[in-house]
Amino acid sequence: MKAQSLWGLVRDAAGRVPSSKTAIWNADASCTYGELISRAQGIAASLHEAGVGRGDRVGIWMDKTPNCVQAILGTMAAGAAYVPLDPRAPWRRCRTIAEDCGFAAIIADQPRLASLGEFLQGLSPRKVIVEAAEDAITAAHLPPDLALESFASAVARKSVPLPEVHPEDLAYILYTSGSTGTPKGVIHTHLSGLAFTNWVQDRFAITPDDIFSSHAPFHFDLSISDLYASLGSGASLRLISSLEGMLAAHLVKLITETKMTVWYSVPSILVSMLNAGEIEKQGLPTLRILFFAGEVFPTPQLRRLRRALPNVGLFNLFGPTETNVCTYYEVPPTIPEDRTAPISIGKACEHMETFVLNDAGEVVGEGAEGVLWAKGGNLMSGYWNDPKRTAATLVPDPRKDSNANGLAYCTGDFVKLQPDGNYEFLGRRDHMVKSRGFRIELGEIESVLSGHPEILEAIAVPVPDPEVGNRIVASVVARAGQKPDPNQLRAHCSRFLPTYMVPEQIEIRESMALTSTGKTDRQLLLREWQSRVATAAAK
Amino acid sequence: MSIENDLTEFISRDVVPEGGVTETELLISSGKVDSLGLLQILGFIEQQYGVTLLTSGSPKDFESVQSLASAIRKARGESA
Repeated sequence: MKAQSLWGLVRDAAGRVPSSKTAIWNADASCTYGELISRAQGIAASLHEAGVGRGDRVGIWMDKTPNCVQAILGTMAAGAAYVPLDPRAPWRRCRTIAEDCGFAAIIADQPRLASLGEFLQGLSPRKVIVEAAEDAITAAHLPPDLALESFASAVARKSVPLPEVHPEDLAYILYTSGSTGTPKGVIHTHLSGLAFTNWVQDRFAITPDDIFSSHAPFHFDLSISDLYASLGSGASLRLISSLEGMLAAHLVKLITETKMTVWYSVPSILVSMLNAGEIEKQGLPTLRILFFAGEVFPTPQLRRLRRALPNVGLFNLFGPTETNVCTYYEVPPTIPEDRTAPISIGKACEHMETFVLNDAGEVVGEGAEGVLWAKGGNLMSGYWNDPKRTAATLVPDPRKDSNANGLAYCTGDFVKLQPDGNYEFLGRRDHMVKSRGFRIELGEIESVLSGHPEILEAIAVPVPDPEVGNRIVASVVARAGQKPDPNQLRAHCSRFLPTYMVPEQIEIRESMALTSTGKTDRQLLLREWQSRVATAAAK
Repeated sequence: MSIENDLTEFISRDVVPEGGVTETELLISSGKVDSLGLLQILGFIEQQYGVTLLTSGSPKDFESVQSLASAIRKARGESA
């Protein structure tokens, strides 16, 4: 019988490989399949005893370590959904998510201890599991009435009978940047997680012999394939820390030394790996599949990668967190020298359906521009705590004269169907941009800046950059009589936003640039910033 | 000025003006420095000390100001 949950998928795979086989490892620790399952069951027993189960949300606030994966699997084994918090984001942002989500339990690690007390103020989780030495936990002076347990104690618990996890149960919630100023939670069930994972396993013939990379952080949707296509196939997974993930030469060495077979990351780091000159030098002979996603891969660099790795399957996986992945494209053996347009985003995954609608809501065919819609098993169930937004984006199939049932999701991406049946990506129809693969709603940055007492109006501007996608800067207008300091404004942003969303530069303007119709002239602001950046670069 | 002082001053002034950093603080995993910030730091090290850590260093070298200073000394053949 096929697994009914992501937890079941991993547990079943563990049963098919020797229990002493390495499941996950990083630079400091490793964990076998036997340990992974027994320790996850220990966590599940601890959560279950505290009454945490189906429908509940558990915050995972940890660095990317084997213990963190145990916490994630243990949460799902207990029947609850995991909500990964970015360990590098300001704790206030994580706290906003905790308030939105209403955590039934929180699992945190030692580096989080310093802010855990403040983080927990006013929250009432039924269990808090902390991965730190007992004396460090005592010294952290956490609220006295917490149901606290050390990670070591939880993972050592004996497994207990647990309620069955149903495919329709919540599996995980990933928070992405939200245009209204607060992050929004994208809900996936086991059903959608499995639909996507099974597609990766089948389409790319994943076997227990594969060795996967885990480059993306766990709060980023690229991690879903990393975690479950690997561990759900009995393969091994090398966790890459945030620091390692930035060191291009080290990463190439890592792929070679660990005999990695499957790599998945945003293009920016692949470009850095190419620029370090190491990919051509090492050749990466064990690698068979390289996935990239999250942003446009600059064509000249992709051509170089194609030449450097002629025997590796290069795949562009496309789709927002809401769809996991909805289309994909295999990069051909050669990319013509004169091609400058970005590589295609391909066709719908075999178990998905996609179509393009124009402004009038009509399906358009080859050569016409329109917005991409997706249908099928990979779709999210909605946004947490936001039925209005869910109802607006996840709608009954809108195609006129169509008898098709089911919900469809509007990706908000402008595309054009090419003669070969593949989609060309043209851009976004809103203010969402990507920087280093991270999805950024400019509105969230603007909302934080406008929340500063000295600021009247703020516009975040994405300046296109060939290496990182976009560099974020901002133009602000001060309130009358105020003279805000740009560095203090950046400091204000870094209290609420992750580093990749903090504007690199902030200009203080007398008034905001406006179009003839009185709207903010974002194009003019962009041109001004581009000329400023070009002048600075020329110096 | 020691290498540690120089690095702390540079990072606190140019990379993390909001709150600065201490010598032992974790730069990357704390979220204070991102990949662009790391490149700024490595550029400063190359310019100031003539040492290219990006290709020769191990991940541990980049954890903190202290580990960066040790790696610079090691690369220059001094005792760390």
